Amino acid sequence: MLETRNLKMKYGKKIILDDISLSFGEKMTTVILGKNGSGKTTLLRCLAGAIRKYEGEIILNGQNIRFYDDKQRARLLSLMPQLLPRPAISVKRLLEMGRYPYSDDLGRINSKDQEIAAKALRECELEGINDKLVCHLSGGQRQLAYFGMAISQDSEIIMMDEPSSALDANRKKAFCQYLHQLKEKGKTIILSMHDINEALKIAEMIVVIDEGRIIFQGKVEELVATAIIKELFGLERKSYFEDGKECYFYL
Amino acid sequence: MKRRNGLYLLALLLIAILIMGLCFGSASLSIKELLTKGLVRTIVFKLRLPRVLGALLSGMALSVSGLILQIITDNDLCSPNIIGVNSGAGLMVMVVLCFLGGNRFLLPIASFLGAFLTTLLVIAISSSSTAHSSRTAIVLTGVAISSLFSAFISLLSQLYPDVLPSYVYFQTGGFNGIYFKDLIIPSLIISTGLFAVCLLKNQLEIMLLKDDIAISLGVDTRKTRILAMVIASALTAASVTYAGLLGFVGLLVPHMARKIFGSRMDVLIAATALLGAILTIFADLLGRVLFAPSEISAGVLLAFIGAPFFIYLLFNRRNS
Repeated sequence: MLETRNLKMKYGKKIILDDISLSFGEKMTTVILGKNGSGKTTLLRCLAGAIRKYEGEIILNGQNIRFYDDKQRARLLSLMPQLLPRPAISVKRLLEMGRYPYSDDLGRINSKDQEIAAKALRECELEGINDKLVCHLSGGQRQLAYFGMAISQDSEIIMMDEPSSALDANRKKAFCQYLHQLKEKGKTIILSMHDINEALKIAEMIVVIDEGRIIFQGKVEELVATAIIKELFGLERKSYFEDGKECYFYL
Repeated sequence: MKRRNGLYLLALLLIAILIMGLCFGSASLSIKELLTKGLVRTIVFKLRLPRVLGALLSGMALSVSGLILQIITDNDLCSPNIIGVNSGAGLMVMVVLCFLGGNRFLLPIASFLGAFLTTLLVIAISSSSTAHSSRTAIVLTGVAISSLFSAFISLLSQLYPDVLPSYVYFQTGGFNGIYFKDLIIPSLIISTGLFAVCLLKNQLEIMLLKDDIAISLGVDTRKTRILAMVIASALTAASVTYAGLLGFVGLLVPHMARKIFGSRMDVLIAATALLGAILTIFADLLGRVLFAPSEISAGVLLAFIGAPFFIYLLFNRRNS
């Protein structure tokens, strides 16, 4: 269970996150929605431990996240950032690096960890490019490789910052399937997005952030019943029926 | 397998260049003559062998130090001289030359202290100036400290113009006049430093994925960065004590190794050390034979290759 209590973060005098109190549902998919520069990425970086200078508290499984050992925290919580580096290491090695939280003091992993990494490689259908260097992959392949690393890491909570931004339509569909698989494994998924229609397809819970403040948190049905999206993004709500159920999208 | 074969090839090349380093110089010797007794053997084992071993150790130390610094600062333009280790050592040498009469025994100790204190200063300033990610802060602090120390060096050189010739020799970097006794302490520091890098290789490899992912994977990036900086400065300072301010090895070699062997860290560290040793011994050898019996120091030849490469990197960066 992950929650934030009165989280506040500033860069100099500029307030990036202002009094954020949130609770992320266990084994649920939560989408953090907001315009570019609204504070989504900063919130995820705070949660992942990449930013440590903030006011308020982040509580993970009942304990302040600051008191967790680095590897212990990494076994519970992982982050896939928006900008993915392009090192000259193979895809196979990248997935093995995902097992670092389970390594010994020198960072060495055992054969069991190598097997888990190999399994993640198969699950993400990356076998065909396992020897390819990450720096030689296309944007979509790279995103998939890092997604494989997140699966290999096998943390309870998986956070992704704008995960589908570089994917084409086919890969987005595949990505949704992978997310579904993660959910079936009982993972808590937290995604940041700025595309409302994509968020509606994936999310069970939605958090809307604007200028560092939470302006909505609740279920998808509750959000579409409000005028928040129209006010924030200037989009009109439309509806259609699928299998006798009314669905919504924004134009 | 390919990479391993490449490493074997580099090791063979290193052995070949070591033998060439012993055979060639102002007086060339055959391999048979190397093993004969008498004056020739004295030349080889008392003069050339320490010189070649000095170049080997220095090449390994500076290139691995450059590799570490490039990883932890995420900056491919970074090398020991960029973060101010060299200028710190240089300033302390200048102080000894100006105020302590250029005491030969004090010079290596002073350069060593200068390198260490500069690194500590860079760490202290950059750590206190950022929340967590300190890549940019380290480079900027290094550049600022380096500029400040260079200004002090210029000031001292203008106030005490007589000491300049000795400083210039030290500043260029080379292996002339090295004896085994000069290498005892540096070789211990360098071998310990290389061993320590091997222990840190997994964390350094993950640092290639940038701070956010490294932290998400449970790497204490701050601790890793500080440990790596201490190792890098120890490696550089050990080399500075007997080889002077040899530049560009730490910049050139990590790029070459990465290009040929990729970034898998165990292979990359070994390849960087071997390539660094080969290049430095070769530069020293070339300096001895090119205008024999006159000598050009290895540092001058390395600068001839390194400076255009640095410009190439700058342009390449701008274009990309």
